[in-house]
Amino acid sequence: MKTCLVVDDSKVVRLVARKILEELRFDVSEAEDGQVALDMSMERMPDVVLLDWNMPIMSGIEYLRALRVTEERKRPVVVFCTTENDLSHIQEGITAGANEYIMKPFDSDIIQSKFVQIRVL
Amino acid sequence: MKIRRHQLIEEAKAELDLAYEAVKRSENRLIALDIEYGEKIAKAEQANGAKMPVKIANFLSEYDKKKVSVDVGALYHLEKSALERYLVLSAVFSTVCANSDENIVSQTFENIVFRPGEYTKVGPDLKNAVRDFAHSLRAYTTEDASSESDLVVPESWAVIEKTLRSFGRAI
Repeated sequence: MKTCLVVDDSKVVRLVARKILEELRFDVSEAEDGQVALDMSMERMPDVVLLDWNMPIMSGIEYLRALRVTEERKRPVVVFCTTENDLSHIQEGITAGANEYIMKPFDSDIIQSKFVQIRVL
Repeated sequence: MKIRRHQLIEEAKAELDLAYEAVKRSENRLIALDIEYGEKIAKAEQANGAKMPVKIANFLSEYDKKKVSVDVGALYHLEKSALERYLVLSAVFSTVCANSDENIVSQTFENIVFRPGEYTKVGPDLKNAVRDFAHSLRAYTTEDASSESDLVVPESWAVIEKTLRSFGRAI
Protein backbone atom coordinates (compact mmCIF):
# COMPACT_ATOMS: atom_id res chain seq x y z
CA MET A 1 0.00 0.00 0.00
CA LYS A 2 1.40 3.41 -0.96
CA THR A 3 1.69 6.09 1.68
CA CYS A 4 0.48 9.68 1.39
CA LEU A 5 1.20 12.54 3.76
CA VAL A 6 -1.44 15.28 3.78
CA VAL A 7 0.02 18.59 4.93
CA ASP A 8 -2.52 21.33 5.58
CA ASP A 9 -3.29 23.63 8.51
CA SER A 10 -7.02 23.13 7.92
CA LYS A 11 -8.46 20.14 9.76
CA VAL A 12 -11.39 20.10 7.33
CA VAL A 13 -9.09 19.81 4.32
CA ARG A 14 -6.98 17.12 5.99
CA LEU A 15 -9.98 14.97 6.87
CA VAL A 16 -11.67 15.31 3.50
CA ALA A 17 -8.39 14.54 1.72
CA ARG A 18 -7.86 11.54 4.00
CA LYS A 19 -11.28 10.16 3.09
CA ILE A 20 -10.61 10.57 -0.62
CA LEU A 21 -7.12 9.06 -0.42
CA GLU A 22 -8.21 6.10 1.70
CA GLU A 23 -10.81 5.30 -0.95
CA LEU A 24 -7.91 5.29 -3.43
CA ARG A 25 -6.20 2.76 -1.11
CA PHE A 26 -3.48 4.99 0.31
CA ASP A 27 -2.14 4.66 3.81
CA VAL A 28 -2.67 8.28 4.95
CA SER A 29 -0.94 10.36 7.59
CA GLU A 30 -1.49 14.04 8.39
CA ALA A 31 0.57 17.06 9.41
CA GLU A 32 -0.75 20.52 10.32
CA ASP A 33 2.32 22.49 9.24
CA GLY A 34 5.57 22.14 7.33
CA GLN A 35 7.72 21.50 10.38
CA VAL A 36 5.59 18.61 11.61
CA ALA A 37 5.55 17.28 8.04
CA LEU A 38 9.33 17.47 7.79
CA ASP A 39 9.79 15.60 11.08
CA MET A 40 7.35 12.92 9.93
CA SER A 41 9.04 12.65 6.54
CA MET A 42 12.46 12.16 8.13
CA GLU A 43 11.05 9.36 10.24
CA ARG A 44 9.18 7.67 7.42
CA MET A 45 9.40 9.09 3.92
CA PRO A 46 5.99 8.93 2.22
CA ASP A 47 5.43 7.98 -1.42
CA VAL A 48 3.27 11.03 -2.08
CA VAL A 49 2.84 14.39 -0.33
CA LEU A 50 -0.29 16.50 -0.78
CA LEU A 51 0.97 19.88 0.29
CA ASP A 52 -0.81 23.11 1.23
CA TRP A 53 1.01 26.34 0.52
CA ASN A 54 0.05 28.87 3.17
CA MET A 55 0.62 27.46 6.65
CA PRO A 56 1.89 28.88 9.93
CA ILE A 57 5.29 27.92 11.44
CA MET A 58 6.67 26.44 8.21
CA SER A 59 5.01 27.09 4.85
CA GLY A 60 4.60 24.55 2.08
CA ILE A 61 7.46 25.93 0.03
CA GLU A 62 9.84 25.96 3.01
CA TYR A 63 8.97 22.33 3.71
CA LEU A 64 9.48 21.43 0.06
CA ARG A 65 12.88 23.10 -0.16
CA ALA A 66 13.99 21.37 3.05
CA LEU A 67 12.68 18.04 1.78
CA ARG A 68 14.47 18.27 -1.53
CA VAL A 69 17.90 18.88 0.05
CA THR A 70 17.73 15.84 2.33
CA GLU A 71 19.99 12.91 1.60
CA GLU A 72 17.10 10.47 1.67
CA ARG A 73 17.14 8.05 -1.25
CA LYS A 74 13.39 7.93 -1.48
CA ARG A 75 12.09 10.97 -3.32
CA PRO A 76 8.39 11.45 -2.75
CA VAL A 77 6.07 12.80 -5.38
CA VAL A 78 4.87 16.21 -4.19
CA VAL A 79 1.57 17.69 -5.33
CA PHE A 80 0.93 21.14 -3.96
CA CYS A 81 -2.56 22.49 -3.41
CA THR A 82 -3.29 26.14 -3.84
CA THR A 83 -6.13 28.63 -4.12
CA GLU A 84 -3.92 30.92 -6.17
CA ASN A 85 -3.91 30.43 -9.90
CA ASP A 86 -1.34 32.92 -11.06
CA LEU A 87 1.44 31.46 -13.12
CA SER A 88 4.38 32.84 -11.14
CA HIS A 89 3.04 31.25 -7.97
CA ILE A 90 2.70 27.87 -9.65
CA GLN A 91 6.11 28.23 -11.26
CA GLU A 92 7.63 28.96 -7.83
CA GLY A 93 6.25 25.65 -6.54
CA ILE A 94 7.49 23.63 -9.49
CA THR A 95 10.93 25.26 -9.27
CA ALA A 96 11.10 24.40 -5.57
CA GLY A 97 10.65 20.74 -6.45
CA ALA A 98 6.92 20.05 -6.67
CA ASN A 99 5.92 17.48 -9.29
CA GLU A 100 2.44 18.84 -9.87
CA TYR A 101 -0.21 21.13 -8.44
CA ILE A 102 -3.96 21.08 -7.97
CA MET A 103 -6.31 23.93 -7.32
CA LYS A 104 -8.46 24.14 -4.23
CA PRO A 105 -11.21 23.17 -3.82
CA PHE A 106 -10.33 19.72 -5.16
CA ASP A 107 -12.53 16.65 -5.18
CA SER A 108 -12.08 12.92 -5.56
CA ASP A 109 -12.09 13.01 -9.38
CA ILE A 110 -9.48 15.76 -9.53
CA ILE A 111 -7.12 13.93 -7.16
CA GLN A 112 -7.62 10.64 -8.93
CA SER A 113 -6.95 12.02 -12.40
CA LYS A 114 -3.92 13.97 -11.21
CA PHE A 115 -2.50 10.89 -9.46
CA VAL A 116 -3.01 8.82 -12.61
CA GLN A 117 -1.28 11.54 -14.62
CA ILE A 118 1.78 11.51 -12.35
CA ARG A 119 1.69 7.71 -12.15
CA VAL A 120 1.18 7.23 -8.46
CA LEU A 121 -2.06 5.35 -9.15
CA MET B 1 6.44 39.78 -2.62
CA LYS B 2 3.05 39.98 -4.20
CA ILE B 3 0.18 41.32 -2.06
CA ARG B 4 -2.36 38.52 -1.80
CA ARG B 5 -5.22 40.49 -0.17
CA HIS B 6 -7.95 37.87 -0.03
CA GLN B 7 -5.93 34.71 0.46
CA LEU B 8 -7.42 34.01 3.91
CA ILE B 9 -11.03 34.27 2.81
CA GLU B 10 -10.28 32.37 -0.40
CA GLU B 11 -8.88 29.49 1.62
CA ALA B 12 -11.93 29.50 3.91
CA LYS B 13 -14.21 29.40 0.87
CA ALA B 14 -12.17 26.58 -0.68
CA GLU B 15 -12.40 24.68 2.62
CA LEU B 16 -16.20 25.10 2.62
CA ASP B 17 -16.51 24.01 -1.02
CA LEU B 18 -14.34 20.98 -0.31
CA ALA B 19 -16.49 19.95 2.66
CA TYR B 20 -19.67 20.56 0.67
CA GLU B 21 -18.45 18.35 -2.20
CA ALA B 22 -17.47 15.60 0.24
CA VAL B 23 -20.94 15.71 1.85
CA LYS B 24 -22.65 15.66 -1.55
CA ARG B 25 -20.53 12.71 -2.67
CA SER B 26 -21.32 10.77 0.51
CA GLU B 27 -25.03 11.52 0.27
CA ASN B 28 -25.02 10.27 -3.32
CA ARG B 29 -23.27 7.13 -2.16
CA LEU B 30 -25.95 6.58 0.49
CA ILE B 31 -28.68 6.98 -2.14
CA ALA B 32 -26.87 4.48 -4.38
CA LEU B 33 -26.64 2.03 -1.46
CA ASP B 34 -30.37 2.44 -0.77
CA ILE B 35 -31.17 1.65 -4.41
CA GLU B 36 -28.70 -1.26 -4.62
CA TYR B 37 -29.93 -2.99 -1.47
CA GLY B 38 -33.57 -2.14 -2.14
CA GLU B 39 -33.28 -4.00 -5.44
CA LYS B 40 -31.44 -6.95 -3.87
CA ILE B 41 -34.06 -7.32 -1.17
CA ALA B 42 -36.92 -7.00 -3.68
CA LYS B 43 -35.38 -9.77 -5.82
CA ALA B 44 -34.95 -12.03 -2.79
CA GLU B 45 -38.60 -11.44 -1.85
CA GLN B 46 -39.77 -12.20 -5.38
CA ALA B 47 -37.80 -15.46 -5.44
CA ASN B 48 -39.49 -16.31 -2.12
CA GLY B 49 -37.25 -19.34 -1.53
CA ALA B 50 -36.56 -21.11 1.74
CA LYS B 51 -33.46 -19.02 2.31
CA MET B 52 -35.23 -15.68 1.81
CA PRO B 53 -35.20 -14.53 5.49
CA VAL B 54 -31.48 -15.32 5.85
CA LYS B 55 -30.64 -13.59 2.55
CA ILE B 56 -32.56 -10.46 3.55
CA ALA B 57 -30.92 -10.39 6.97
CA ASN B 58 -27.49 -10.65 5.32
CA PHE B 59 -28.32 -7.86 2.89
CA LEU B 60 -29.48 -5.61 5.71
CA SER B 61 -26.33 -6.33 7.69
CA GLU B 62 -24.13 -5.53 4.66
CA TYR B 63 -26.13 -2.38 4.02
CA ASP B 64 -25.68 -1.19 7.60
CA LYS B 65 -21.92 -1.80 7.51
CA LYS B 66 -21.50 0.09 4.25
CA LYS B 67 -23.67 2.95 5.52
CA VAL B 68 -21.53 3.28 8.66
CA SER B 69 -18.33 3.34 6.55
CA VAL B 70 -19.65 6.30 4.52
CA ASP B 71 -19.82 8.22 7.82
CA VAL B 72 -21.82 11.15 6.50
CA GLY B 73 -22.31 12.42 10.08
CA ALA B 74 -18.61 13.27 10.42
CA LEU B 75 -18.75 15.11 7.11
CA TYR B 76 -21.79 17.13 8.18
CA HIS B 77 -19.79 18.17 11.23
CA LEU B 78 -16.83 19.22 9.04
CA GLU B 79 -19.11 21.15 6.72
CA LYS B 80 -20.69 22.97 9.66
CA SER B 81 -17.29 23.90 11.03
CA ALA B 82 -16.10 25.14 7.60
CA LEU B 83 -19.31 27.12 7.19
CA GLU B 84 -18.90 28.79 10.59
CA ARG B 85 -15.33 29.73 9.74
CA TYR B 86 -16.30 31.18 6.39
CA LEU B 87 -19.23 33.14 7.85
CA VAL B 88 -17.15 34.61 10.66
CA LEU B 89 -14.38 35.61 8.26
CA SER B 90 -16.85 37.15 5.81
CA ALA B 91 -18.47 39.17 8.59
CA VAL B 92 -15.09 40.31 9.87
CA PHE B 93 -13.88 41.34 6.42
CA SER B 94 -17.09 43.25 5.90
CA THR B 95 -16.87 45.01 9.27
CA VAL B 96 -13.26 45.98 8.89
CA CYS B 97 -13.72 47.25 5.35
CA ALA B 98 -16.85 49.25 6.19
CA ASN B 99 -15.50 51.16 9.20
CA SER B 100 -12.51 53.42 9.46
CA ASP B 101 -12.71 54.04 13.21
CA GLU B 102 -10.50 51.51 15.06
CA ASN B 103 -12.62 51.55 18.22
CA ILE B 104 -15.80 50.80 16.30
CA VAL B 105 -14.01 48.03 14.41
CA SER B 106 -12.72 46.43 17.63
CA GLN B 107 -16.12 46.65 19.29
CA THR B 108 -17.99 45.21 16.29
CA PHE B 109 -15.31 42.57 15.84
CA GLU B 110 -15.75 41.43 19.45
CA ASN B 111 -19.52 41.17 18.97
CA ILE B 112 -19.27 39.21 15.74
CA VAL B 113 -16.47 36.82 16.53
CA PHE B 114 -16.89 36.20 20.24
CA ARG B 115 -19.89 34.99 22.18
CA PRO B 116 -21.12 36.87 25.27
CA GLY B 117 -18.61 36.61 28.10
CA GLU B 118 -15.78 35.19 25.99
CA TYR B 119 -13.96 38.43 25.25
CA THR B 120 -13.72 39.39 28.94
CA LYS B 121 -11.67 36.20 29.52
CA VAL B 122 -9.00 36.89 26.92
CA GLY B 123 -5.54 38.26 27.62
CA PRO B 124 -3.57 41.11 26.04
CA ASP B 125 -2.08 38.84 23.33
CA LEU B 126 -5.49 38.20 21.89
CA LYS B 127 -6.49 41.87 22.10
CA ASN B 128 -3.27 42.78 20.27
CA ALA B 129 -4.02 40.14 17.64
CA VAL B 130 -7.51 41.59 17.09
CA ARG B 131 -6.05 45.08 16.72
CA ASP B 132 -3.27 43.91 14.36
CA PHE B 133 -5.69 41.88 12.28
CA ALA B 134 -8.14 44.76 11.89
CA HIS B 135 -5.37 47.25 11.16
CA SER B 136 -3.65 45.07 8.54
CA LEU B 137 -6.88 44.01 6.91
CA ARG B 138 -8.04 47.60 6.63
CA ALA B 139 -4.76 48.41 4.90
CA TYR B 140 -6.10 46.45 1.92
CA THR B 141 -8.89 48.98 1.48
CA THR B 142 -6.47 51.88 1.46
CA GLU B 143 -3.16 52.45 -0.26
CA ASP B 144 -1.20 51.04 2.69
CA ALA B 145 -1.14 47.34 1.79
CA SER B 146 2.33 45.86 2.12
CA SER B 147 4.08 42.53 2.42
CA GLU B 148 4.07 43.05 6.19
CA SER B 149 0.31 43.56 6.41
CA ASP B 150 -0.10 40.59 4.07
CA LEU B 151 1.65 38.39 6.62
CA VAL B 152 0.00 39.90 9.69
CA VAL B 153 -3.54 39.10 8.48
CA PRO B 154 -3.25 35.27 8.53
CA GLU B 155 -0.84 35.25 11.50
CA SER B 156 -3.08 37.32 13.76
CA TRP B 157 -6.15 35.43 12.57
CA ALA B 158 -4.41 32.18 13.57
CA VAL B 159 -4.05 33.55 17.13
CA ILE B 160 -7.75 34.51 17.17
CA GLU B 161 -8.85 31.10 15.90
CA LYS B 162 -6.67 29.32 18.44
CA THR B 163 -8.41 31.29 21.21
CA LEU B 164 -11.85 30.49 19.77
CA ARG B 165 -10.98 26.79 19.73
CA SER B 166 -9.89 27.04 23.36
CA PHE B 167 -13.49 28.15 24.07
CA GLY B 168 -14.69 24.95 22.41
CA ARG B 169 -15.70 26.53 19.12
CA ALA B 170 -15.48 24.15 16.13
CA ILE B 171 -14.04 26.79 13.81
